Amino acid sequence: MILLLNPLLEGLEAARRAAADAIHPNDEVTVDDQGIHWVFEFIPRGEMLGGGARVSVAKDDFRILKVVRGQ
Amino acid sequence: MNRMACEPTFRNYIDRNSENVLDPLTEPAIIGEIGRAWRESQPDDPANRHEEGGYILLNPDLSYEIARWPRGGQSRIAPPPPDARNCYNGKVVSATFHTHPNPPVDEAGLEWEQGPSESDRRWHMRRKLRGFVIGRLLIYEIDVNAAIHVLGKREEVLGL
Repeated sequence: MILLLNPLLEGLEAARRAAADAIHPNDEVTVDDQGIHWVFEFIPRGEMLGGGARVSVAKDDFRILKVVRGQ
Repeated sequence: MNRMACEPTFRNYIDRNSENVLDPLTEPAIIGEIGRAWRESQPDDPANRHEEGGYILLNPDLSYEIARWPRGGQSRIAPPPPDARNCYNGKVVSATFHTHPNPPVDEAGLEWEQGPSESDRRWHMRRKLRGFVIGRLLIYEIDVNAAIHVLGKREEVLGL
């Protein structure tokens, strides 16, 4: 069992679960603090075009607000 | 002829005389090939829609030809790598193109980015190559600095 104490990390894990079909553990991740929510962007590495996802997560309860898959 | 096409003298000529090289999207044959790739992406078939793409190659007589890539997946495609001089099959790569067949919201309710993804931008920035992204509504250009421009509506640019 992993106990996450850092809210940002908890938000990141929520984002990973929400876009699990579109992302890879090796993806680069960026985060944009939008005040009441974060926007996590998962960017595939390597020679592939497309893929990845942008996930918006509420800070207060880690709700998934939006998932947009890349292509 | 193929070997000559990628010699430094030809590359230098292209770099110094870019105004003499037609934009590939003004060539009916190239537009036709991109349109064919779009149709082969099966954008209207939820179970089979997938990405298609290719290189737009410049011949020594300044005409263009297309070298298609292997079929991609639903939201990804892997270009065969060009060489360090940005040549492929011994010819200068002028630009790339690939399709984005997924709609803004698909039949399962999933949302899809319509324009170039960050990995699209980075791939073209690494190689200093221009690329065209064929979306359901619009055609986008990724320039050699990875800036994104909208070229127009797909149906108008491709005549589809």
